[in-house]
Amino acid sequence: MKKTILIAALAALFCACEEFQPVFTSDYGKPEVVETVDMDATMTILQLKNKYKGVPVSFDNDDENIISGIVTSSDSTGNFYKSIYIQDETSGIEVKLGKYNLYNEYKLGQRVYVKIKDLTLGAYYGQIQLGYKDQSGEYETAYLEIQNLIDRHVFRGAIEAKVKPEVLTALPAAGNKAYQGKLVTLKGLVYANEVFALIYPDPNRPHTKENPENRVFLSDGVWNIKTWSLSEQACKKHLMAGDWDAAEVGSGATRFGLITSAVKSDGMFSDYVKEYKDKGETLTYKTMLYNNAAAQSITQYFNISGGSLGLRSSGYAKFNDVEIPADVLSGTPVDMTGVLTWYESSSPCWQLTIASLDDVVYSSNGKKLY
Amino acid sequence: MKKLFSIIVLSLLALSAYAQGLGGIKGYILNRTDRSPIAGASLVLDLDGTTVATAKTDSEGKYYFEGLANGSYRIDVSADGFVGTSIFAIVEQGLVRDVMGVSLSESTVTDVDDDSYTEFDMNDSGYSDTPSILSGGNDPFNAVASYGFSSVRYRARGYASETQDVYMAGVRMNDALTGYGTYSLWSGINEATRSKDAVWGQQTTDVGLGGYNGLTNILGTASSVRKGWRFSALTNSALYRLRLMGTYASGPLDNGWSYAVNVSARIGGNDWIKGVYYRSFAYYAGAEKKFGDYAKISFATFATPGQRGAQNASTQEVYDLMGDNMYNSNWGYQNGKVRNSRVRKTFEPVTFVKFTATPTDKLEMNATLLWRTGFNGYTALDWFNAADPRPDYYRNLPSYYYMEDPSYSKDAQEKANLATEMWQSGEPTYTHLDWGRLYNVNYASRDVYSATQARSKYVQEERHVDQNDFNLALQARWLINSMFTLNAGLNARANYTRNYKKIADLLGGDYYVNIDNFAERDFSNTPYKMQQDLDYYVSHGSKPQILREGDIYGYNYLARVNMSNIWANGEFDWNGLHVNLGAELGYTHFWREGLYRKGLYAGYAEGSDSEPYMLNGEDIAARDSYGNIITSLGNSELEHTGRDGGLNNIAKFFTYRFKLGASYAIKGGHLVNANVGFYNDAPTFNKSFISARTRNTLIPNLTTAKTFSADVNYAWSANGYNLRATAYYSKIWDKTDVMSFYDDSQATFTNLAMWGISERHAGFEIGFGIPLVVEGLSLKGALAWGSHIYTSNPHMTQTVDNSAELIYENVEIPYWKESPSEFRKMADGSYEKDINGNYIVSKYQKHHVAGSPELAASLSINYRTKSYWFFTIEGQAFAGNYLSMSPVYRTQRAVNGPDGIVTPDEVINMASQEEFKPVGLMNVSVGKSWYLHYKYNFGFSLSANNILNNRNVRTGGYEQTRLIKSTTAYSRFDSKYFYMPGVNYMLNLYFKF
Repeated sequence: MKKTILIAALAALFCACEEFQPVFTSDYGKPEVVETVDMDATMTILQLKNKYKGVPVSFDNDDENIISGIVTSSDSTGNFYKSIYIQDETSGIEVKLGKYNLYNEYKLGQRVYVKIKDLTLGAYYGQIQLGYKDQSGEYETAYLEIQNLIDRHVFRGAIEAKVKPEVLTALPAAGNKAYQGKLVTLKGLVYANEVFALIYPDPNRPHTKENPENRVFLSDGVWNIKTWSLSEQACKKHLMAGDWDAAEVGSGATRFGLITSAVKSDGMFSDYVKEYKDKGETLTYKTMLYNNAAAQSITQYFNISGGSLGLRSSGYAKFNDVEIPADVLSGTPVDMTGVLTWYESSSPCWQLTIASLDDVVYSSNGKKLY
Repeated sequence: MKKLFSIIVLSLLALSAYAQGLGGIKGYILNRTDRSPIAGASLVLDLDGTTVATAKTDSEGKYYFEGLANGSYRIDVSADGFVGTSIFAIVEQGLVRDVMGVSLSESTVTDVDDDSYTEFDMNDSGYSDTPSILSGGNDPFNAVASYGFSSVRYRARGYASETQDVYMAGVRMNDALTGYGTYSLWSGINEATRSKDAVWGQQTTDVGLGGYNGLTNILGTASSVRKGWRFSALTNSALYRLRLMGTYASGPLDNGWSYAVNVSARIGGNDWIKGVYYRSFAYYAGAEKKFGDYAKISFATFATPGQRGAQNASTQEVYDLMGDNMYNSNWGYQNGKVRNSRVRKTFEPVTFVKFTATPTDKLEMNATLLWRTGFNGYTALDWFNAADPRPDYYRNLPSYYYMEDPSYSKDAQEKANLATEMWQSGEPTYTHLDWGRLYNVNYASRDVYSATQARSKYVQEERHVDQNDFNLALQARWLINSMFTLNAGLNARANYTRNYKKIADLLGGDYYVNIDNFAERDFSNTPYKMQQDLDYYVSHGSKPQILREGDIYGYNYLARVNMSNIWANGEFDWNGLHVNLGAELGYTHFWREGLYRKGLYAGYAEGSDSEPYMLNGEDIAARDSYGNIITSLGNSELEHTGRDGGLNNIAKFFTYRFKLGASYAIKGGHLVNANVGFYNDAPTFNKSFISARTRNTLIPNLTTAKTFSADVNYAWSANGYNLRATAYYSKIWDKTDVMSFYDDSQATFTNLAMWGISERHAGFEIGFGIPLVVEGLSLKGALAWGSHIYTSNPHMTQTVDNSAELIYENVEIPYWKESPSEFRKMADGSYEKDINGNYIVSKYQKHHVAGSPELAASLSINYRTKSYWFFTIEGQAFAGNYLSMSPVYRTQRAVNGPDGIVTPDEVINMASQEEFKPVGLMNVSVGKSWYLHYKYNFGFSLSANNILNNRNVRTGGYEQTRLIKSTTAYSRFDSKYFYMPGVNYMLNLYFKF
């Protein structure tokens, strides 16, 4: 009996040893470099873009078409955001990957292939993009975002030479699809003394055209904005300094007075008004703008032959609060390299997005601004 | 017998001790296995069913009851880790009866140490892995609760773990910075630390006055280790695969020396939680020399070098997607091998010298010098301008894409399906860390600092808390006469702890840069503000420090803590009445001393304590809202001598404790006991600074925590029956807490300090042991039921981590102690309002102190044969376990939502506290030992826990701090949970001689 037990016990220990999970704690070895893929494009980017006819196009699950292009954008400074631009010899296009810090895995000059099956081609204010279908219907395309969705559609090829930007001395024809999403160098840009920004008294509430009380436009002037874009702190400084006191709340025919005026007690912010009233205070739109200030995108306009170009920079870009040099503000011409996009609004225009301030140089000598 | 050691006399007959013609009983208690003496065994002396005295054996296992009237006595003997027994002795004609040696056999399975608690990763939230109750002892409740309740992380009476005092050789070992028990310092040397004195509740001990949640003193000396050789092999399926241990102790030798050595290795993973593993070693070496009967000196040193992989909590959504509540997001495959990103790496040797003098048999004096040093590192991933690498990051989950409530605008059902598909694909690069991707990002990363070398975007950091802790403990016990005993002592402690992190692994890259990620985001155009080490930057031509593996970065500061106290405890015994009255007075003093001048908090100019730091002629010192300069550097005590006490950020507290207890022994083995105490304790270092990583600022209104505690106890012990019942009540107030987190309502990283936390703990404990009809068969049970609730709404101050800008200053957290759980409704189902337009609350939910079930019950049947078999089957039930609350969700802002309007649904969703489902568990164990020639002993014990394989038992977790926004309301991020493993076994084989 005793022996049986002992043997059983020892057997149990050996069983345990057999399933002993060896724990590895020394050098794991470096993982291999991920191999790049090589595919053949079946259509050009321009051919793909030409499929867009004003309404979003969702490709079938059995559409085997592939586009191929070289990465021309980098989100390393945060000015590009959640997307990459790729370009072939015909045109460029935005691929809405929906991840941050894409530049870590999609290098400038890297070949990228996109299988278009299941994806959606759409436009945002006239600018054609490739993404996923947007179930909310709010936009024509949505970001891919989910890693397995990206892995099924977007393939990274070899790192090749960086794309040489096409040099332009005048803007292309309005809305030209071949130029949309293309890396270009625009020569001889002159500051136009005009900015555009749209700010919201409460960004957490609806702020579409249907909610004019939640919209404040800074346009038709410079509003003392001398930087490429604005951080939250910079927005607050401008408000404190009274730089934007002459701005009006609302748009079109529906106006609510200057931002310094009291918030309407029967409008969309009536609850706030009541809360302040209970405290014996009067709430102004300006106070709301200050309390809810956030980093702010700015469009700085530059004149060039063929019209005016909007240089659009994100409030989250690392160069947000960098001051534009005084000589540039006073008209010294500059050259800029960036991705050209088309913005179809009441006053349609070409816009340019730069990856960093290194992409802006003086026209006279090609030197960087800073 | 010259020496009576550690004796607590309750004798009714004590007064007549001087009378002539009274006899006594003496003898000694041995370990049946190796005939070694058992020190500290408890003896209860009964005459005709009445307890007349209690005693403990001395270090040689001896005991002596003197002054006994003639009669037939019974002595119940019990010792921790042994099976109890009874001795019968007759005292006649006033003679001292020598009953010689009585041996006890070792009890069984309960080889509990802190290993039984997986190291959890709670984002360094200060969660401690603490055993429920350190030592079962001979108390019928604690004997069950100490081991049996540990699987649900039961904490006695719901008290915070730092209230449980743990001593080593007379020195309080609770961590100087956190107050937590430092069990991991000696886990793995179970044999060397087996001998201990333990009390629970407000009882007092010889080594210190103690608090309100028990005190355990591990003897730790060479002579306290059981004599002989002892080897064991243990395997278990819930934590690590194998433990091998060997021990040798010489016992007291003729030349006065004792030696003891204990070594062990704990290695391997387990069946339940992948990535959790041990690779830990442990050693203990002690020597002791006795000089006659008057003095002895002990020396010992021990440590547990090694590493272990940690577990991480995930949300229920993730567990459900994986179909496994044991999922651990900390690991991933690297070249086919499981690699855990979060590994604890420690080597913290503890060394002490203890001197004991017993000039007379009425006086014993002890002095211990103890030093703890070494390192304690904990790895984690760190990244810069790169995607969050954690597989269970919220944007990788279906819930990020789809929520039923349309107001959250999360309507991408198809994407949610795709995310579900991704998790269920079984592809480890999606469901676990993808080390290959991290390395590949690093390989290809180039930045302005070098054209050829790769700047790592992901690194593995190692956060260090490297202590140097110096302790002196002096203690004396004086038996003034048969009625009065005085115990007194002095403790002094100086702690010098370096907190920093270093680069543990560049993960395929060549360098990392010493800048602050968050500051880089917010102040990208002001390079000096991003610098973790501004002095380095300035002295290296405005270049940040380039980091290689092993380099310190991020934060770097000293925690300096000094504590001292004096205490005295008087005991009075008369006619079965035992009264003790004790007091302790102390002084605690701590501060932070920064070793980095951080760009954001440049502070004072070099060598000045008033002038701001200037960079290129510009004053760049940050200031708080009162204009005081905030500094990250310096702040040594010397620097600030003479400065205004209000601003120097040095915490100083006078502390005190008072205790009064009384016991009365009643004929028939009954004992009643009552205690009251008041405690005024200093806050701990880790809960006193707004952001110790970045600056010296203490939290506002920092004060001592106060506790009033009272308990009454009844115990009955006779004829093998054993019962203890306790009712307790404690009121705790002025506690503080701090945390740092990303606040979605502010869109920035913030620091939150809260103070004025009050708690009330009330309840009872019952433990019993009942012999059943068959010899060797017994029924044991334990029941704890309490109500441990918050009784105040604390106040909080919240600041931006980057700028110290105030978000909230001194505002109440209105939904902390309770929240409305029901509102009055009208007939149409809508909520009713009063004439002022406010909703009418019809029911409130009280909020509970989390982390331990309020109801814990166990009932077991034990059978022990004369041939050394034992069998146990135990049923357990737990209920009233609550989830730890995040203060963010109890603020008015979070409840209001973005629209500023409070609705009943918002209050209920945001502020309520989650209660875990009640749990029923079943455990069994069996064991047997064999003896050969009374010299060799071998045996096994096998226990199987949770044999019903219940895999849905939540043992803990925490709420997140982030918010999901809709147009009108916020909702919480899902909470994270830990689960108990399913059925698991532990087999221990041992061999002793």
